[in-house]
Amino acid sequence: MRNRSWLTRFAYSVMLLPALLITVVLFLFSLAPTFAFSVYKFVPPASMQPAFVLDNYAAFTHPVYFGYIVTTARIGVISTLVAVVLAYPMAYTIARSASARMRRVLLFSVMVMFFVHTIVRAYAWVAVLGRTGPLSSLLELLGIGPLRLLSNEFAVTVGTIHWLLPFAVMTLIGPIQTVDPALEDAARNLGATELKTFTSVTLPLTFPGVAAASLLSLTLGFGMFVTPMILGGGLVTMLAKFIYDETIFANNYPVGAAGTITLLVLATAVSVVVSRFFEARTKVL
Amino acid sequence: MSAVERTQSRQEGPAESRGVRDRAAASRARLGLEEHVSRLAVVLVKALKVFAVLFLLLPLVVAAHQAFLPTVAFEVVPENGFTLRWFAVLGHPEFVNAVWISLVIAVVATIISLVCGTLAALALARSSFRGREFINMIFLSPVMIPPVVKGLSFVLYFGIIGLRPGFTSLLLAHIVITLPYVIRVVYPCFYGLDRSLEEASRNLGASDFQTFWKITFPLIRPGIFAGAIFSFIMSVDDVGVSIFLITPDTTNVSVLLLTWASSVADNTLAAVSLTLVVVTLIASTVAERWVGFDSILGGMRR
Repeated sequence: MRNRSWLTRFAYSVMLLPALLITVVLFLFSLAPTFAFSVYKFVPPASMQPAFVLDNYAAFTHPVYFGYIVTTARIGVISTLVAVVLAYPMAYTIARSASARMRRVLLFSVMVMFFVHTIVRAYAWVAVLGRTGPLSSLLELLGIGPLRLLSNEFAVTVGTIHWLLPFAVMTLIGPIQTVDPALEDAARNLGATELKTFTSVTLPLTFPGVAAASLLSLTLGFGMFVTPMILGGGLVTMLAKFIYDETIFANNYPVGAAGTITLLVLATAVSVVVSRFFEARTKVL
Repeated sequence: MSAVERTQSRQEGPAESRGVRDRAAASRARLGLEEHVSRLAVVLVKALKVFAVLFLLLPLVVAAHQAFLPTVAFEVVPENGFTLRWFAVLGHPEFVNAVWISLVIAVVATIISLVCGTLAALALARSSFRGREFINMIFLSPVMIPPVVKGLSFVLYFGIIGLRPGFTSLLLAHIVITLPYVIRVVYPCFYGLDRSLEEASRNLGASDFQTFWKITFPLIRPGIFAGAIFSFIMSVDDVGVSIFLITPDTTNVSVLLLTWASSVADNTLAAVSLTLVVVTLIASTVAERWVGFDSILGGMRR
């Protein structure tokens, strides 16, 4: 018996090995040069020199570069807030609705989004927000003069919300499903209004789910690349696009690497703050 | 009986002292207000739900309509009419080649991730060593890193180990992208499995391999299908990583579409979008019938 357990342990290690090798050797190791190059010295026009300088990070104190960080954070946070608020009622209906057809329609409209290419989804907003698009025509009909709806932060934020919404819905369905409907019924029977039932029973019980959806949305939102590129028209720079431009077009790998680390730190910092916030709220209950 | 009715019935009670009556009136007013606010909130939430569905689906409809229009979305004077000329691009060799590259990369990466990921998920679910959660975290870590960060890191790292951008580096990167999704989808399947079925099989004299092939595998097959679909989508959908690793010969459909989106000012992209949407709609309907969205859903949860 002892021999067999040793054998299974060996078998399990062998089974873990390929996936572990891929993740460690291909992925985790790949992050090392990025960390290293971020403190290298950039030698114009296109090379770098081993060194330990913080110039590449110091560049981000420049108002223009700092603006990229602010834009990234602003778009990420606003999109997350709106996406989670829009996602909650949808997820609730998918998890709870008595009508099977309603559940299917909502679930299908969310799932289809995963099958539609990111670029297609961003481009669809070009058609909606464009000069001859339906939104422009509608606004002009209402007498709100020709507004530029494309190539600005508004367009990028709308595109980002559209991209995050399905992820937020999917993350929320599970936690909502686990709430015992009897608890909500009890609140209603005790005379609580629908709103009161939601704010004092359903919402607190699904807080971990809301936290998970917010964290996922923030992580994805900060890294947005395609959407700002298509809907920002070169006028809205988020960190991901900055990294791409600096490395591929300007060949400045050290600053690109420093931007990468900045993006990672920013995403991690906001995630920590958000999870602290939700943890504190959950403990009180 | 609603809260409003209850307060009304209380009103009809015997004569009360002034203080009690005042308090009752105050509570009635409060309850009435609460009820109104609550009803308003319910209506608002319903409106929000309708808005969310329209917000998700309408852009795709508008883009589809755009594909048949002779003028582009940002032109000042729109021209009405109907044309199919934007669909000509579907036969363009550059486009066909890009689709081919995307498909080959996605299929090969998915197969490799599926094999490695399923083995790892099985080992993780069955063993109980101390670092298990940590290893699971390592497996899922690529998901937490923005695509562009992965892309830049790959191009720098592959440069150091002497791997030039091209098919191999693209494939390796896509294996890293897809593997965590397979593990995330398949891992919970092994947890939900009834182990007594396997024991029964072994007690009846089946070998470990026979047990896996005849009992375990059929039970987790929905999870493996879901993992395959997810992995395939994530590979085809990737832009941020691929854009760092492609060469002119290995331009995949994502990068080609992005190039068009930022440079070509006609409705070609709308036509390609519509085609992709139709193909994916058919694929997702088939997927829904085949495995059901519920099993794909498992993979989305954190």
